[in-house]
Amino acid sequence: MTTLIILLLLFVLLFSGLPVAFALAGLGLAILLVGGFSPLMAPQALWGTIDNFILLAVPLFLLMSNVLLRGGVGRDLFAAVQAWVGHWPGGLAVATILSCGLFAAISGSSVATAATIGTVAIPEMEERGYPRSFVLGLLAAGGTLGILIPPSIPMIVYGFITEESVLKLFLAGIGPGLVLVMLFVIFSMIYARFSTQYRASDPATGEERRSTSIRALPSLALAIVIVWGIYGGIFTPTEAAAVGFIFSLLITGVILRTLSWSKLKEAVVDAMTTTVTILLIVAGAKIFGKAITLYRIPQDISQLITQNFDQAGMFILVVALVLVVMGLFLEALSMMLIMVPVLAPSLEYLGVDPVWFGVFFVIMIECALITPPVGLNLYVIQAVGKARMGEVARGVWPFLVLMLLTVLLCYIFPDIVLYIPYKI
Amino acid sequence: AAETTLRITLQLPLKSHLGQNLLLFKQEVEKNSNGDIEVQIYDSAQLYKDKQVPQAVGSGAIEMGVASLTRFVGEIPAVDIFYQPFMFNSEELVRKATAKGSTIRGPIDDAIMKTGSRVLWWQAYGGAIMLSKGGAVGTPEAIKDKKVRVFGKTLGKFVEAAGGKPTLMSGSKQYLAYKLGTVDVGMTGVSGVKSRKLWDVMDTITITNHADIEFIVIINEKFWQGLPDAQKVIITAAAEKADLAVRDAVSKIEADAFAAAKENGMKVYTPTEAELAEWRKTATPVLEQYKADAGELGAQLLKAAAELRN
Amino acid sequence: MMRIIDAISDWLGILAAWLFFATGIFLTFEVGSRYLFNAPTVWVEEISQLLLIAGVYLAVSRTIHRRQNIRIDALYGQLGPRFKKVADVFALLCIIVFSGFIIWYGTAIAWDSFIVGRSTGSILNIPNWWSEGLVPFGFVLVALQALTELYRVLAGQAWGGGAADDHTDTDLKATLGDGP
Ligand code: NA
Ligand code: NA
Repeated sequence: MTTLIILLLLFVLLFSGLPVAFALAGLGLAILLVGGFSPLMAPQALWGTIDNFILLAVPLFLLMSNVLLRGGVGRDLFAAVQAWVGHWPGGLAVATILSCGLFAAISGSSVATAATIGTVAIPEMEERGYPRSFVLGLLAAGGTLGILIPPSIPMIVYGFITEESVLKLFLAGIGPGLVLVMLFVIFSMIYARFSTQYRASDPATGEERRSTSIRALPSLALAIVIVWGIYGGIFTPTEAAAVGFIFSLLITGVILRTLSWSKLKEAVVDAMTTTVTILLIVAGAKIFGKAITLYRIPQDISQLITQNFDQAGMFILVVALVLVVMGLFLEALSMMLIMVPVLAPSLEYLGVDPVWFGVFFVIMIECALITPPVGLNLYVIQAVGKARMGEVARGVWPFLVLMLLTVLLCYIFPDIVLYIPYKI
Repeated sequence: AAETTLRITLQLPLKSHLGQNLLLFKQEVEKNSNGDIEVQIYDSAQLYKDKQVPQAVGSGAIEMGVASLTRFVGEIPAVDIFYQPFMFNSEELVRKATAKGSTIRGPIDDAIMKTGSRVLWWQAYGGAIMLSKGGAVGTPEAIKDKKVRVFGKTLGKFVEAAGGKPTLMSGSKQYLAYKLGTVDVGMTGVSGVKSRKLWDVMDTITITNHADIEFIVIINEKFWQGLPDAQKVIITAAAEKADLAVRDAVSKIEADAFAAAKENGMKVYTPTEAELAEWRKTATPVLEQYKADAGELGAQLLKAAAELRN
Repeated sequence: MMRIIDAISDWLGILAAWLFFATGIFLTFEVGSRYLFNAPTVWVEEISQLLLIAGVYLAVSRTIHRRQNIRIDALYGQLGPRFKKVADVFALLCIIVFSGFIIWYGTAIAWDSFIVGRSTGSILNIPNWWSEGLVPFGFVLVALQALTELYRVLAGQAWGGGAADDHTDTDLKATLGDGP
């Protein structure tokens, strides 16, 4: 009963338009007070949450991707990929997806990925006769690769909540990320094959390929340095973020010379804004989390789950359904911060690998990012493509199906997720 | 319902030996109070990380908590006597030093009381060992120019004195750090080797016993003063029982952990007397620093420790 | 007066942004010094941690002023102007009351640590109240800024006095730069 009342209050507060961080923190404080627990826990949680080395990676990955963005790296990447695959059937769509995948390997956010590639890809694809809603859907969905292919800010947050190794989570995202890229590519090629309006591009000349590739090379090198540096044990994910940031400054400021002082200032301030809004939600969720822990709500829910499910499959199916529904309305990161602490205690009992569950959760968040009415990537593509919500939403559903298919594949073949972190 | 609720925050999981020891306390208190006192354990840092516990209990945000003794080193530098190299390096010495009201533990408990928390009992965790790859850490020479994981400032100074490079990191980061080679040598309690399966990443244990790791269970002093006398008696009795139980348990836990480490292919090395003498000589500056930092209380404890040895 | 509060919030936000920038430099230095000179530093992790706490709590009031905090506007977006105003007043009141609690209890915590003399016990041995005090300090700014915005909303002006931008717009600006 208490659980239902708290849940109801949370939804009322969230939908009233109160910032998510204050809804979680305020409700948490209120239930501490009502339950006769010490309100000192609230400021302690605000302090203790941010006092964490893992979360230090958040501002640094954001700084890196903002600097790359302002430095026009998205355009360079897209031009290079297009020069190589643009003349294939559905070549431009394939180039768009591959560019999203590549940018995802240097950015931890799906909004950044969708916006960066969207800005350059949408006009070109429309010019080539791709139907508008397909283009918009492709970009909205392609952008979500940003949080599945490492680095990934939601994975950092998941690692923070569950004390799982961020390194393992990052590595676990690679397999499903590649599967998703492949499915998107196959779908686009089939789609173009049967489309009537679409005209294929002419193959690029060798000179075009060479010059565009050279410009994209430093950014590709950066992606490799980060993945190899984390994987090879040169540095921790947090340090990788710092090193990546400094390298991104060198690439855009010194090598490509596309980053002006004013662009740098914008990048730095914007990274700060996103950091503060994200970390404040994480801290607010911590207050809420402590409060419900004192009411023993996660413990009770976990008990309920272990009494009613003895099979991981059924549990995953139910969680997936709940996440699809919640994902329609809830902001993606909040969904993770509310749900994971409650579900995590059951994982061990059900024999679900927490790293696998993290990747599963991230794919479900990707779905939430592109399902109307609330989905950050929908909004971004709406703005970038000067489109109406309906147009984007219409184009998104085939990709949504492919994402859910990926979840299914990861369930049937867990090695897609677990092979790289555990067996290499 | 219960008249009194004792909430205890613990950094480690319930299945750890510290968690099991809290369960013993819980059963004892709940049984003897006929349900008037309820004990709730919040394990795995659900509520607070180890470093937040002194503040959380001292300020009364939560009634009870478990913290490592040396968490208090900022406000009470003298507690680091337990990390002074080879100060209490036998089970016998440790038992004497940590007995309730002893000349070592007594003054420390009094000092902690001034931070707003009463010490109910001490939880033994075991002695410190060194972990390495490809050869034991028999002498100070073996860590010269090596990066060494430490878990306290004093242990850092010890490593520096031997010419190594200390890196302060939390227990949970060890596995990755050893695997990645962020550090070359590790310093930890042997039970941690077993629970974290550190034999995957390191191959040798050297039983240096250069420090004694202690946790303390504290209760907010204002809260304590508000309890009825009958409840204080029950809690004190249960605490004493738990104190003895964990100290007896730890010897067995350490023996099991060494056995498990050997089973999993680790070599276990015990330094010779000559090697130990060399270590002690190296550690002199650490002791000098302690004398400088730990003030009157430190001097008093050093004197008491010397008396215990004789 | 309101202008001054806006300016302080904005300025501290920019300061926070450069504190994050500094952590990037420090941590890279740490990696470099570990590999090039085989000498891990003793101060980088702790200082970076302190800067993160400082950055976050110094900058919250700027995000309130510019209305950049993430919120769910599925319902809010559909409301008419009058109901939006009610929702805004409610949101600001919640923020003010919450800040009041954090200022009060957060100060109690920092004060307790100050009196007892708690410190990190690490090699730098930084007093705990430095970083603990940042939380109530940040929320003093949040409370002042939210009061300012409450006055604006009640007076029929725009939240943020024109500086505000909706979160989706912010993210867009954050990601788009000056576009193609
Ligand atoms: Na990414
Ligand atoms: Na959605």
